[in-house]
Amino acid sequence: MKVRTARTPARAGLAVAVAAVLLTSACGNKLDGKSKPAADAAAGGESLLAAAKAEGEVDYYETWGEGEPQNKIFAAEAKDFTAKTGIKVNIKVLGRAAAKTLDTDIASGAATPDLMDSGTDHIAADEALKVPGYLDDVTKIPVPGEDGKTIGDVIPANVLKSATDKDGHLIFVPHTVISTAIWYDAARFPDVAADPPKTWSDFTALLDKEKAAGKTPIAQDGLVNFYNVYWFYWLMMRFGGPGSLEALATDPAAWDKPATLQAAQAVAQLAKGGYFENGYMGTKYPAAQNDWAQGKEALNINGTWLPSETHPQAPADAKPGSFQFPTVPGGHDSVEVGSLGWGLPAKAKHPNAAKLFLSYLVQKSVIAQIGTAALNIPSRPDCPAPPELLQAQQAVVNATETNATYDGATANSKWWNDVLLPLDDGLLGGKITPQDFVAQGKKKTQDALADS
Amino acid sequence: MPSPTAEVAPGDGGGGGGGGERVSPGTATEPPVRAGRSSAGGNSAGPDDSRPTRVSAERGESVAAAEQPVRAGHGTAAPDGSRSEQFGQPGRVSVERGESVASADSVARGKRFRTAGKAKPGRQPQQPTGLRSARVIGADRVFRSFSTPAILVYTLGFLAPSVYGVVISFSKWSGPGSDRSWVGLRNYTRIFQDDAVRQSFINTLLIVAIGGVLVFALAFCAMAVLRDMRGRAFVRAAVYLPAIISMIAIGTSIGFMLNPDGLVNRLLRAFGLSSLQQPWLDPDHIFKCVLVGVVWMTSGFYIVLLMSAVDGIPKHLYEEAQLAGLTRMQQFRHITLPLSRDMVAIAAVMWTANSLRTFDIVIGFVGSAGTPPQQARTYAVEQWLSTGNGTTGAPQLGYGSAMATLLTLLTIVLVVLVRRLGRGDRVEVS
Repeated sequence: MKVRTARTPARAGLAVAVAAVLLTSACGNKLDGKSKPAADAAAGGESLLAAAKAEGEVDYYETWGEGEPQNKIFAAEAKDFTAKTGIKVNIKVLGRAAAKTLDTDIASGAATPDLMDSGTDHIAADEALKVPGYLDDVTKIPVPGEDGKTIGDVIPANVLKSATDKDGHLIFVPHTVISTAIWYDAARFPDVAADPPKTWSDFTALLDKEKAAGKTPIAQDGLVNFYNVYWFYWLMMRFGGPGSLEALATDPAAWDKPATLQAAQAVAQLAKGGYFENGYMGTKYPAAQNDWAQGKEALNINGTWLPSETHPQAPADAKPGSFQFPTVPGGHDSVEVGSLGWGLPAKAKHPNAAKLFLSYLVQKSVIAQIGTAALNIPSRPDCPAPPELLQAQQAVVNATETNATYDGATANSKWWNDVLLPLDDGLLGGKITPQDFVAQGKKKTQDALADS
Repeated sequence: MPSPTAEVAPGDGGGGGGGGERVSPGTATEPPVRAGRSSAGGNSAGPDDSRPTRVSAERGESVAAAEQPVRAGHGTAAPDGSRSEQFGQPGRVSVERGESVASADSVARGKRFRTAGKAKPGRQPQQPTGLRSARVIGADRVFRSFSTPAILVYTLGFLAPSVYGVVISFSKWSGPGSDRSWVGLRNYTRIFQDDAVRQSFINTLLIVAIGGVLVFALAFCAMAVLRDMRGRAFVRAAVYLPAIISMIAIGTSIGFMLNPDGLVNRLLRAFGLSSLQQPWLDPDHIFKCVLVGVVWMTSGFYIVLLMSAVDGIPKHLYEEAQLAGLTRMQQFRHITLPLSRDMVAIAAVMWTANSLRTFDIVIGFVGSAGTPPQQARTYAVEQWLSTGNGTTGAPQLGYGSAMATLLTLLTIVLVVLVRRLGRGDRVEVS
């Protein structure tokens, strides 16, 4: 079916409208990707191409800034896509600030993109607003020029999982992997690089060693409460495993589990140990991480964005590296996998063209630039991350057990902000005991649940 | 509440009681200009009492007079439409409150101004009935044509969203596209049971109360000191400076200065005061820092506002007071404060309304990475968080709207209370 473009006047518009209505109703081919017929139709390469060409264009609302590496990479690929398919890609560069408002704009109808930037931590909020369309069928779309490999083949299951909702629906197609690790500068702390601690006892031994040598072991921007909670979150992942932190938000009884107290006790051990810089709970971001970059402290727990974020402050010979959070006896060994990618709104007007464009975007030549130009971890394991992120990429690729960023607990934002983060600040700041932390956490969670 | 306006009667140096009888010296097409017949009691303090100038002010003047206030001498208009008059020439003066008269002598003796209540409204100028009707119709038409767009904009831009916000407050809703369910008063009852909201509300009230005391103490000091200080214009500009800079910018800068290894602690170390060093932004100290920051940033505005009222007080009153041996504090108590009470009341209302919404300085102190610690959160910050900002969960717009509605109601109640506390008969100069 060939549909004339909107340049022709009202008659063509009417024809397009009729065709759209037929597609969405009479033929049963919903365009939001939720219906099986549509998925089947889209999955077939040729039929998708035809449907995409019929739609003729893709509107991509981008929340990267103008001139950012990602903006340049995707713009170049859009040009190439248009040249190869004749389908126009309209990129609207909104900038990073728009990331917080794009979903509500789409939900209200103020924005009508076919593709939008998304991420693991946006899934819950976007679904509450019924913004995303499901992309389950997209994994079956062949990637051009890759011998019939589909999107699902080139992006590993661990990474795709980070882009799915609780019901297992794929919400976006990842291009970048985000994780958390403990960071060091191999140039200044070669002993850490040579033998990174693997267990919690190794880790605390390292902290004691650094402290004994007159150094401050850990840099902590204590005013960023979701950096502070990394410690408790990770210890919950180690003692309780994936799902254990999220359970604290929804089940007061989860606070009574031994893992919760064990994790809290380990956090208190850090607070009591004097391992952080002086006045760490009053340190304003990014002072501590900059100090870490300059070698004043040995370690910093942070996201995979840390090396690029601190690069301007780091000495020229800095060699940032990372290790996974130490394990505990009998505990879990999960790896955090979050991701950034492209979502397809449920109300997209050109879903097939958007899906076809997605298949071009995940080509190796494009995703590789996430590592080489954007200096992040590419979503494809065959595209290497920058040297400072290689360990993190390997951990993600080889992980046998994964968890979402913060175990997905941020979805309950009221509990997260008003219960967990304040209590955790008290715990890490040494103001409350682990027992108080557990007792208060249980009570406040009960109150919050009763209140909500 | 009618805006008090001024009446001006140049010349005429007769003595006698305060009256407020009005005359209309203008033509029928001109707004009436009122000439008070009140006269000054007491002694002249000025160097030239041969041409005394009288100024009186009344409550409840006509619309025409209110719309076209009359200037005489060096009179200055106050923001609420009232006028504080200065004398055109030095000469005989009196200080009145309504119909009462307090002489400069009484001022010099340190007595408080007395009042006998409100001034009587004067007679309206007489005009032919037909002409008056035509003028009323014409004015009515002009009023409608000018006011309609403003009313429309106000209705669509403010009233409608406000009402919509109240409606949303009875629902559970995450925003456009999400399911909405009506929950009645549930959001409101939740607010009263919410520990985080309670803490933020207490913080806000502390800012209103303690911050208010500090801001007005500074402003009163400035009123007492800056009035005749050399270089006062520069000082005023300097203290006003923080008010024109973005709170976010200042909060951010101060935040870095207060870092454990920031400028403040370095200076303390440099001056041998290491024992005073603190992690200023940690949960134990951050609220105090926010409070000081709010006072520092806002006091300049209130100082300038109140100084504008002080500027309207005739200088010879102070000269008389000085001759009578009043201290600066006595001058402040018996002259400055009574004659600027209206402006103080306005400033108090503004402070109450503004400080209840304290928000940006908290974000500036903490930064946008992370959410403010509970110890630093104000009610507005807590509301901001509940509407999905600073976090990634689904926004609770119904809850946030209920918080906003309660804040609006509280603001109205407090503003009315403050207005009532500040209400009193105006002290006037004639």
